Amino acid sequence: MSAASPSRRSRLHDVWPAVLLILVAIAVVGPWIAPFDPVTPDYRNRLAGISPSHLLGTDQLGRDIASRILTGARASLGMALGAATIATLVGMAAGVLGATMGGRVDWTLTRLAEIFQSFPGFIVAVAVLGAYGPSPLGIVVTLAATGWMGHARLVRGLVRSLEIRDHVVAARLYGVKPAPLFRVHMLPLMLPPVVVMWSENWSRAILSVCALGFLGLGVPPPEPEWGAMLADGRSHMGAAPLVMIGPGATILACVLLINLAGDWMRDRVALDEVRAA
Amino acid sequence: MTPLTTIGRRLGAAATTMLCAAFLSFLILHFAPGDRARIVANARYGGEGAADPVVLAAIRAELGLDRPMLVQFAGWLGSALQLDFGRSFVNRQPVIDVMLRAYQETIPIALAAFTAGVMVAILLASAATLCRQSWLDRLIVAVASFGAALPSFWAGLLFILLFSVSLGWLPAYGTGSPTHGVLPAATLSVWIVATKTRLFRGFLIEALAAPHLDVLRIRGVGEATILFRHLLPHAVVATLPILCLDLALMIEGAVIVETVFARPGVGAALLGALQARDYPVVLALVVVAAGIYTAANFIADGLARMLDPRLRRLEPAAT
Repeated sequence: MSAASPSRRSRLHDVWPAVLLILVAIAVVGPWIAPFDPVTPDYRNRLAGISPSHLLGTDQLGRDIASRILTGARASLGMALGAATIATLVGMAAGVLGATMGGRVDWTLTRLAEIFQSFPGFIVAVAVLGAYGPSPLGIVVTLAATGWMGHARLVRGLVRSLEIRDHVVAARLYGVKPAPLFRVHMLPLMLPPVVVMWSENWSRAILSVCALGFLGLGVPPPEPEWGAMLADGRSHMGAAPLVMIGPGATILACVLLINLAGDWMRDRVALDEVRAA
Repeated sequence: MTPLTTIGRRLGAAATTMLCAAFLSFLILHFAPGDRARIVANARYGGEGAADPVVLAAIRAELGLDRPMLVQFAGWLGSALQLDFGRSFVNRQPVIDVMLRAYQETIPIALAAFTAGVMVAILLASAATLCRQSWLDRLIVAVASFGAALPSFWAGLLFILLFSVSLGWLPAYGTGSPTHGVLPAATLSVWIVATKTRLFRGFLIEALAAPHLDVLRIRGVGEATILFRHLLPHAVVATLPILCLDLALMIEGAVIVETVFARPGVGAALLGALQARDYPVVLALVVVAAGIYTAANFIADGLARMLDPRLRRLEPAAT
């Protein structure tokens, strides 16, 4: 039903890809545009309120919260982005491989996805990071390992349904080799739903990364990370609510924006499907 | 294919999946750092690290740590199937007792959050559907979007700040009385309310457009009656498979929420066991959680097949 009224709202909604790009950019350049040192304590300015120089106040060690949020973007947004992207790529590879090879390969990959699906992802992440010690690489790998199965299933289904489309069959009969056939005739049609799922994966990964940070299983301190900032600030939140409002609202805003962008893209994909049919 | 053989085959598949998941968990924790014999020695005799090699060898022999990995796994699996998950490295209590105590704390909260959350979601979705395209509908959709993006640990902190610190209505931490469970359950239900409101609303709006309902409208049945009498029960039944998976997901959410509220549930047990390198407890918690997931998947799949005959027809082609 949301696909029914595209023309009226499409102009406003075209900002969503830009929103995603801006969030990616913040994850990359966040640490460089932070106005204050996010790590060095400044004990004279502990738990300061909002002021022109400290837009979101300072934390229990006098560090500028806004700077810590910007610097922490690399950990919270960036690690989640890495995990979601790896999960997407691995899932795509598994899906394409399963759908094109068929037989035993397909069976093995499907069972493997089922086994990974039977794990409660977050509990496994907590167990692995708790047992081996938390590290950025460990967080990305664990979250990717618990997030690729949906992509594999999606891509496997997409390849199977695309393989019998007229233009793909025609191209194959014309003698197009498998690699160009996939790249030119199937990949462009697969990308929109995959990108939608990638965005869902990213927003979920942000929540997981921050939850891990909150439990003390994120990047080691004093490196800032949004979830860890909330955990550190909680004992001061009665006296200075600012220590938890900044990081929490940032997580909420990022996840919300990515979800909305994903919803917008899903509507667009559904619309394209309607047009194509 | 008769239904019974289908169920049998799917049960076999679920059991195989579970076996592989258990082996994978065992493998991951087997290679985790820390000498198990030393952990046990430290817990039993105190003193850091300097345990006698003879003592360590004796502990290894006692716990079977000197045997090959596959033999260890087979032994663990054999007793785990009889619900014996070994003893804790740290306090030598049976792991099953530790686990049962943890789940006793977690399950009531999870169930309360789930039940209340689904009921609120049904109410909100019905209201949004009845007044669709109105300000109320938009508000409910917006609130649901916010709720789905709200980190549970932050929501928990905000609830503590508002209801415990500012208003002083409810206790913030620990256990003891039913009121201690209100805030954790409310925090845990935010996600379920948000996602299920969207789910039910989407389903109801789509279902309201079905042509056969026009017969009811022509006979003068009101929209509200159509919604509550003819669509809502159907919506709940049709979404049962998803709800079943969500119920299992609540355990995962509880791990975080219980930490916020300092409750001794599954989350505290898992984090405490990890801190103490109490690997038998960690392994049991992970495997049991995986078991609950597999069971939920199996039931959800069975429900979906029961409710949608098309899935059953597709079965021979799919495998």
